[in-house]
Amino acid sequence: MKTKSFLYIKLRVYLKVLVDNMEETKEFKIKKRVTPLHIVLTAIMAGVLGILILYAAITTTIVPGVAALYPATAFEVVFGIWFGVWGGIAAYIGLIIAGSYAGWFPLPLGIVLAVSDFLAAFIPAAFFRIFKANPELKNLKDWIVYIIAGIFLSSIPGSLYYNLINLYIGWIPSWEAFWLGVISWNLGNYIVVAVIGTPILKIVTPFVKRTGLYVEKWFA
Amino acid sequence: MVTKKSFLFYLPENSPFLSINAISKLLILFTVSFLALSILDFKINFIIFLITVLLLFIAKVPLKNLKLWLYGFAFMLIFLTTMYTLLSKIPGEHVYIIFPWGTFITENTFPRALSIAFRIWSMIFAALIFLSTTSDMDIILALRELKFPYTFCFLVSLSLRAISMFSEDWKSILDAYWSRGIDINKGNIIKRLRNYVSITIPLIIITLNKIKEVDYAAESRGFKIGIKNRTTLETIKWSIGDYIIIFFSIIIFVSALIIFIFK
Repeated sequence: MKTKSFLYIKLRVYLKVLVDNMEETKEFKIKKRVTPLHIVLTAIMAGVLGILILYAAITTTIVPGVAALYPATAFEVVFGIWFGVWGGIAAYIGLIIAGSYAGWFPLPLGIVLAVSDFLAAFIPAAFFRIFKANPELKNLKDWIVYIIAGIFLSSIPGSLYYNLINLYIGWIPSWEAFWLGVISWNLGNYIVVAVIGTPILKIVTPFVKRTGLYVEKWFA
Repeated sequence: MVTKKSFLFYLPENSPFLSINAISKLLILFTVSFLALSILDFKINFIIFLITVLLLFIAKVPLKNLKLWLYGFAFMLIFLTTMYTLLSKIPGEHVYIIFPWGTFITENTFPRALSIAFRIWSMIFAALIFLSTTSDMDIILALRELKFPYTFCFLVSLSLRAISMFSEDWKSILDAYWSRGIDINKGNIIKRLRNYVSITIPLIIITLNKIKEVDYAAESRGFKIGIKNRTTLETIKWSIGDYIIIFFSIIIFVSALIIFIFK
């Protein structure tokens, strides 16, 4: 029984390697579904985002608890566009790990605050999938979707949510400071996503597609 | 001195917190956080803060490792006080200064700023106690004991490990740039941001290549989504200390909840 299950697993892995290396054609459509690869992808991307959040930082703070320039947001947007909902989950876990590790916020609060980073990745992911835009940014439609959703819309809901929680717990003292935080957050993110996100999308997307890791739909 | 590696750093093996399991420590973390969040009073927040500092000492967390956190605490205290001075509207009997943009300073401004600082830092120190006395394996065992799905435990476990897996790659890429005489922290902000592009592209490429290897390894070990009844070699251990902590944590949590509801 044990031998049979071992052989079965081995066969599954061989088949997986074979299917991964197959080119999708008109005659041969690979049925896409959620596989362990997506879990591995999410976990590793969360770890990488954790590293980028921790180390790739230009710490410029305007209101407490909010970094005005947060380069990691560019990677969250890019990962959201490439990996759909999985990119959003990776951003969520990545911020919890990095924030707890660096002492930016306590773990229970991090679980609530990290939703902002999920939104930063999920909004561009949703727009790219709804409008069927190409992350390689080949035509005008792709650019418009990227500029609207990737650069501008991605940070607005997250900034409102994050600063509202901070206002509620007293980390931000007043509505004046709240709006200062929201504006600096958004302006910083526009710069970061435009400067970092755009070249990464243009350069690395063909490679991501070639490896077969690109998530075309929401989950697969 | 014999040491044991936790999620954050090495801890002396005689630390009493090492004999407590991760679930009890997680309960301490959540109780302290809830208590700190439910009460906003300078004296009480300060007492909660002192208790967490005391717990840090009991846990025998080496002070030299806390340098970064202590700098963070000092920075946050100054920053928060400045913010409250310039941008708060805390009501009080005496208004000392009214700023042109509508905010003002009263006798309650600074106590409120300090209360918030102690509230946040008691939560951060509680999290620090948890992370500095618990290894990533303990966290996974605790999640499994709490009946979280195996896929979720796997996701958390691999994320924690990915940090150490790829931080080495990140450092190698940085070293490669340094050895070529490129200083990534030079120039204006836009230039520095653009430098990150050239560093992160190799990291992303390395990561994408490794993802498939890890996936094949996981699948060849029988990992699949929704898998149930997996057994583990290690299991979580319960001691009298754990039961005492759980008992007191529940009492404190319920008391804080009652205060929060009826205040």
